Amino acid sequence: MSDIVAIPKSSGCDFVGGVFKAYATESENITAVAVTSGEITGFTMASLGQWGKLEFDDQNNVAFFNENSERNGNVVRVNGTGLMSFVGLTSAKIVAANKAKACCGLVIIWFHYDGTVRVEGIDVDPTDNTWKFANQLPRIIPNALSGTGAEESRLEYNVTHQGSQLSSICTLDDAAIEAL
Amino acid sequence: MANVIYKVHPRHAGKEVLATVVRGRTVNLAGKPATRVHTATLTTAEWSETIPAATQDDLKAVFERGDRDAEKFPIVIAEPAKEEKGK
Repeated sequence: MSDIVAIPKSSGCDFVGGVFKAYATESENITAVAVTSGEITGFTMASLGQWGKLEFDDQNNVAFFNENSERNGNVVRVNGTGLMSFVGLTSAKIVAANKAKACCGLVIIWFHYDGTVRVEGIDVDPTDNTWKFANQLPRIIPNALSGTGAEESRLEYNVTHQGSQLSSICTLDDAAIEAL
Repeated sequence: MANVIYKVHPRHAGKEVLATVVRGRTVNLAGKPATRVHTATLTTAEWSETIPAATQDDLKAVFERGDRDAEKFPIVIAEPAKEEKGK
């Protein structure tokens, strides 16, 4: 149902941007999702230990998860883009990146510096708390960068997806995700 | 208490693992314990833990939480319990 919900003016000035951590899994590992008031409050997984923890080395504050919508006629689509940066290139990181690249459709939980946690790849319908996977699920597009002598070498994960809804808030914390 | 039994929807009844967190505890809705293997890290050896089978209370909590699959079917359903003969 359409509606214009009032958004009051914000108070304070502590609205730091950026993301610092994420968990990712193949969408096929997720059997069910619990949604309450438009927020994701639980997952049921078809196998155990399938959430990979990705902790960025973000001293340069380059990591982000942004969503920009576009209109085509009367259809509005949401395009998500994200960047994770990991300092240093090692064999283990290159193997990890090649495995991540092979995943056809992911669900990613992003942790923002301001405490917000959002789920990319699941479109929640706020009118009835149902959900579906995004029509173009997130994929990881990796970069292995030597950089120049003035920089750090690094591995980067670029992430893109396209859905019909902005990514929902998730109420799960680290412990609840890692327990799955 | 009404005679209701909670169980996994038949769409998912054949699965070995249906792991979820209920009241801060991981349980397997699929009705039997499951083993989770934690891979070794730089600081810890490989170890495994047993995820217990969900109880009726756990299934009831998931039913009331309203978990649904991508086709909008509830993952847990409630059915009237069959009465035992002679009671």
